[in-house]
Amino acid sequence: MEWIKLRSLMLSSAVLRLLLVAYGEWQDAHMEVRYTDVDYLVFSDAAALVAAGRSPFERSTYRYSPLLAFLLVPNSFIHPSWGKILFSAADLLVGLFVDAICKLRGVPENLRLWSVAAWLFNPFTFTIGTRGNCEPIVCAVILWIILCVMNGVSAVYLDMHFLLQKYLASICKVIQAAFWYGLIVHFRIYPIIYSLPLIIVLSKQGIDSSRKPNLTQWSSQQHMSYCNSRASSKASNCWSSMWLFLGGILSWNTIAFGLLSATIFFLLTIGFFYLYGSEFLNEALLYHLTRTDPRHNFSIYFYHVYLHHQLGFSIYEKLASFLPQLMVQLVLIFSFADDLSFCLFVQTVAFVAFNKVITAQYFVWFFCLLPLILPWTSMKMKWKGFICITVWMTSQMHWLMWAYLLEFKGRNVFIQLWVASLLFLAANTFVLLTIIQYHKYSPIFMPSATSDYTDTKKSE
Amino acid sequence: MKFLENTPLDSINLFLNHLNLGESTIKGNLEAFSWIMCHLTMKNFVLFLFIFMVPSIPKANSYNENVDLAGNNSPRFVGCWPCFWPYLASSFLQHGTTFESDFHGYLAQEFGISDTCKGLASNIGTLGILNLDRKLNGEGSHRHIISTLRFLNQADINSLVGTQECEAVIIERLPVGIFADPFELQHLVNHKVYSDVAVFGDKNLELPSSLSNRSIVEIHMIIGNENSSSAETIVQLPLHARYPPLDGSGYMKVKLESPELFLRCRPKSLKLEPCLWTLIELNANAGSVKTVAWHVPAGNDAHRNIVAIATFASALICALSVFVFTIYFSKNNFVLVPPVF
Repeated sequence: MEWIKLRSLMLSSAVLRLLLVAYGEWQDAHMEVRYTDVDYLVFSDAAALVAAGRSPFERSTYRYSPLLAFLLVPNSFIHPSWGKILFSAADLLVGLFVDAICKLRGVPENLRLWSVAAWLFNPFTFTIGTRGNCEPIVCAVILWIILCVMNGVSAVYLDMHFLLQKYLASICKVIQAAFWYGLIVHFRIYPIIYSLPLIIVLSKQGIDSSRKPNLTQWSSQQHMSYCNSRASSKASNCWSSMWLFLGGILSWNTIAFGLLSATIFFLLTIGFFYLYGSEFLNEALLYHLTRTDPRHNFSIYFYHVYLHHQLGFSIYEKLASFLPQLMVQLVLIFSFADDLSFCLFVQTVAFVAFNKVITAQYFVWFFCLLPLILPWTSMKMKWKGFICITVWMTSQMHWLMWAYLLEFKGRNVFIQLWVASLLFLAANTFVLLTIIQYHKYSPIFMPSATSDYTDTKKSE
Repeated sequence: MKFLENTPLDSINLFLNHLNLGESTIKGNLEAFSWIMCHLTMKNFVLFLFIFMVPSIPKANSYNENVDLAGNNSPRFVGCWPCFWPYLASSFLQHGTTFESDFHGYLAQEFGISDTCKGLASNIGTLGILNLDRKLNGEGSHRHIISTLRFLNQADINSLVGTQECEAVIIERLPVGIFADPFELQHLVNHKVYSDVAVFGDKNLELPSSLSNRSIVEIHMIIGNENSSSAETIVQLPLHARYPPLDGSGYMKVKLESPELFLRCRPKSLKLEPCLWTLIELNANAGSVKTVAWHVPAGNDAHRNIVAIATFASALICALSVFVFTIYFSKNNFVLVPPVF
């Protein structure tokens, strides 16, 4: 029965998205304000250039990997909405992956369906794909990487010789995850922040990885306290535990993961550099790393950047904006790395909140990970959940109000807008800390203490 | 017979500009005609044809009237524009000239009357602009500059349009603080608002004023319609403001000058070779046209220090709260404890 419910959920989401794409086409043709995002037009133009055998970077403001332009080449000869359909399909894939991940961890069906619905029917989500934004593809790949890490032997290898199967099983997971990880870092760069937690989690597999890893199962107990046997043996000296930690993460899995993903990344970079020259490096890579955009956005740094734009930025200023981000990322990684989905979620929220530039499409980066942590939160909608949503939405609306006055009414409200962005950071911090407080920490892998193969890994 | 020395073509243009049709002018024509017959070369053959057609201009009275009303409001025949040349402004910029250079001087040089220009030249007198209204519509950073052209004699325009394909050519020189989005303008061309448009110069949509340069927008718009009774041609150009340099008053005043206005026509049947547009400059320098001012909000450099301190302090406070809170709530999870093999 459960697959019928999931199927109807997926079907209704697909219909909703198709209708929105069709509506978007109508609005573009008949109304002054377009439904389609400006970025989609940039991708389409770049794809048309690629179809004509030229560089996508001839299109100004195209600052993405050429892979995106390749994906959208059918825009020129099938239909201009091909890209939107592709992104909406990636959207639906994310829903499927959320269901798969929750199922692997034994989440009951009704909770799973709520989690999937939290993604598929989130207004941010379905508008972003149907407006032509490419973020759903990034989300789908991130979730696939999590699935690869969680999954063990692929069915394909089951009928092979046992020893070969044992060897290949460990490689399969790492190879898949590494390949997609290298690809997605090339595509979007921000997933580089996930490197450390992925490596930490992969290092927990130990030597005996021929079996499917023991995934901790969901439990309905309110105060589940996970007693990590390792936690009881606390290191007496911080520095010696640091060395032990570094030694611990070095295993064949992690070395293979690191090397392979780095290789994929560099191969793609070199390949596209060969094809498109330094334009590719400047537009697709360096722009994102050195971007100082003085135009107003949600980030607290925008007004500071505008006021200092003509003076330039000293190395201390650049460091000063980088340090809070680094501090927060490290503390979150080292506290939550074992609970992979949760770690990635809090990292992404913090990364977006402390970044130098924040635009609305970045919110999708953590919205796709939110369904993965919902089954493990003890926060009820009444009232903590409601308060979190209200605080976050209100601070956003407040910022948008001042931004509207500045951009569309021409009033000088820079100070008010800047204060609104400070309040938005405060709201993000509040929501982040509340989520951490109410989360039931559960590392995805059980400690592989026994050598017996237990069949209770995957519960129904 | 007045003796005309062997002057270069632009001086002849100047002479023709001051031609006043009416009884007295016919004599002037004949004099020029005589001069041409004496010094006929291939180049001058065109001039010969032009002058031959001039006496056939009807309604000499109304033309005189217009000249009386506003002395320099008369249209000026510029020259012949080859069809394969897409935009006036592109060749202007290609010659390495700056935006402040004399556009008129350039045009006089480039569009000399060296080829056969047919059709419009005889009607030049009736095609003046009565007035040009300029209005900046909208609020905020995204506005429209609306130029309303009223021709002197709309009925004549309408009859001209019966045999000729005519377009208004508007050249806007945008200051540093304003830009036009080429993609948005192309969208308007696709929706047939303009027949063509081009942006030259700094098209970067993202940089602030201090790092930007000027740009030129050239718009081509089909004017007149045989059945149209409207006496106005309205050109609406969407513009966007850049982030201006810092200003203590909180606003930066950006000025938009009057555009250069031209009219180009060619016969509807394009069987004639070479294909040429007849180009006329419409002077709308009557007193009513004024510079339009746009007030763009600007940051205040007095805020610099307080904003820097408060920004970094907020980031630090939030980061520290996350740090402390996380450590407190996850003291059992901390990963620095070594894993068990």
